Parts: sequence; structure tokens; C-alpha cells
Amino acid sequence: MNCLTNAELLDRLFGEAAPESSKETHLAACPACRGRLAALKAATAAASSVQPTPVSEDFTARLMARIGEEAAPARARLGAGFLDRLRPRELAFAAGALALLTFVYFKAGGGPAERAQVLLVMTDGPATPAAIAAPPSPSAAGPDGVLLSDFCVTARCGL
Amino acid sequence: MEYTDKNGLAGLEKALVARFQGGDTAAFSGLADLYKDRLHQFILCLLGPDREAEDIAQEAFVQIYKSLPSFRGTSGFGTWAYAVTRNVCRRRLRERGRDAVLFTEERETAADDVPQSGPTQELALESAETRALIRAEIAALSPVHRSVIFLSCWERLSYAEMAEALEIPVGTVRSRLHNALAALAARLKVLAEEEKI
Ligand SMILES: [Zn+2]
Repeated sequence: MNCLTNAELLDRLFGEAAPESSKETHLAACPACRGRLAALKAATAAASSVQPTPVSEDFTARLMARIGEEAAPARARLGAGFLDRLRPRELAFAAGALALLTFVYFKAGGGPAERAQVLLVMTDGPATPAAIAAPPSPSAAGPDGVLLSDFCVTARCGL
Repeated sequence: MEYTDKNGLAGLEKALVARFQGGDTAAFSGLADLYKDRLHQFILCLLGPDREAEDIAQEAFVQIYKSLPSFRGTSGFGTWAYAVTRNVCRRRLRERGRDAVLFTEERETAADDVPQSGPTQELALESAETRALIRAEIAALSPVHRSVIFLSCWERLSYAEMAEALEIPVGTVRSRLHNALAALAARLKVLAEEEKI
């Protein structure tokens, strides 16, 4: 008696292999194999009757809002072109470099009047220096003279 | 409810993926609606009862959203989504400081160790009470067994699709699925003998 292997029984159950006449003949004659097949069949039918546990009704709405928050505002604020070119590590590095440059500009200057002649401007592209008419208020800078732009603050949060 | 119209759903799913990849990001909510309960259930299979399961499902969808532009469609969307979800679960376990050992059977049980009999009478599957008992028996299986049973019996994935979703060889899919079904059959047999189902 060549009983069917477990794999052969399973293949037959899920229709993953074409039925072979010798195996079918054996199945018809062997109560043990038929019993094994019936057990697998019963388990499959039982498992197929159990529905997935549903999520909350507002799941998709919350998801789309979350996706909007994570993707859209960051893109709008920072410029999608620039952001897309950076990986998180590069973004952190860029933020660090920008913070350092800002620090140098404000620290290197003498009095408040000469402090900031140039500000790095974030646009839809790489950061570019741009002249500004009036220096930012000293109160905007931290205790060490570092003024964090919105970008730095955002990037520091690990965006 | 069973998926009687898997082909119809597959067509809708393909269309939604194509719309999304064509720039219509709103199409993603359709994909989320199609898959939210299924990915959630898969997470419950992998992690067991978990109060963060829904949050993990959200995280998985965010990951899918981010990766979908580069999805090439060589496998089905579902197969790919399950693989992404599985990796999100693995990452969440690591963050919790738990070893992701749940994802592999320490030793693939030798087929002969598994009992080979099940309930002898038809089960009353339309009864809510019976279904609740079956659900509890499935929940008592290992994560590995719960996952293959869900992907095969509910999702109707082929061996090859399951191999891709679970990142294991097809031969392993077969032995796991056989052992999982045999383990469930043995549990159902006990319930039937106790006349609970
Ligand atoms: Zn036999």
C-alpha cells in the first residue's frame, strides 16, 4: 500500500497538482488516507468560515488623514523637489549643516546691526543664500546666538 | 462571508493600483478599504491579541503608501502588502525589545509527529457559536500556523504567493500548512468529541 504523503494530500485538497489516477485509486481503497484527507478538509472548511476581525469604522478616514499629515504639509513647507532628493540621514545632515551655518553667521558678526546679512532660504530646490534687508530680532535666537529657522526646528524633531 | 468573487476584487485592486501610480493618490483609500480588515487579521495572526493591532495596521498602510510608487506588480498587490505588513510587525516587535522569533518555527515539526485525524461529523459552520469556538481554537495555534491558515483558507493564496508573503520556500509553505491544518483538525476533533461543536 503506497499511502499518500502529507504533501500529496495537501496538493489534492488545494488543487495545486493534477490528480494522478494511481493516487485516486489508492484513496478510494484506503480508509486511512481518506480519513487524513477528511481531517484536513474539515479544518480548511472551519478556518474558511471565520471572518477577519474588522477594524474601527473610521479606520480609512484616520489613515488618509495620517497620510496627509505625514506627507503633504512637509512637502508643501519644504518643497517637494528638495525633500524627495534627500534620505532621512541626508536630511538630518543638511539640517545640521544649516544650523551650523546659521550659527556661524550670527556668532561671527559683531553688533546686532551686522549680525545677519544673509539668510539661507529654503525653496523648491537646494538651500540658497539670499540677502535680507533687516536682521532678525535677536530675541528670536537661542541663548547661544543660534537662530533656528522653521526648517531646523522641524528637522530637529526627526522629520 | 467568503470571497466568492476573488477575480472581481482582483480587477478592482489592479485598477486602484494603476490609478494611484498614475498620480491619483485618493485611490489609496479604496485599497485601504479592500484590505483593512485583512491586514488587521494578518497582524492578529502574527502577534496574537494586541491592543496596538489597529495602529500597526495604520503603520503598515503608511508604509505601503510610501512604497507603492515603486511596486512593479510582478506579484499581486495583496501578496506584496502582506510581506510589507509582516516586516512592519517584525519592526514593532524589535522596538518593543521582543525577539521576532515568532516568525519562524524553531523546528519545523516532522510531518509524522502531527496527529492525522479530525472531527468525524460535519461541523455546523453557520452557527455563530461554532464559529466563535473555531476562532478560539485558531487563536490557540502558533503565530506561524495561524498565518498560513489565514493566508490559505481565507485569502486563498497559492503556495507560491504564500511563499512570497512569508518569505519562505514553497516546500516550507506546504509542510507548515499541512501541520497547521492537522493541528487545527486535532483540536476540532476534541471539541466535537466533547459535543461542543
Ligand atoms: Zn493510504
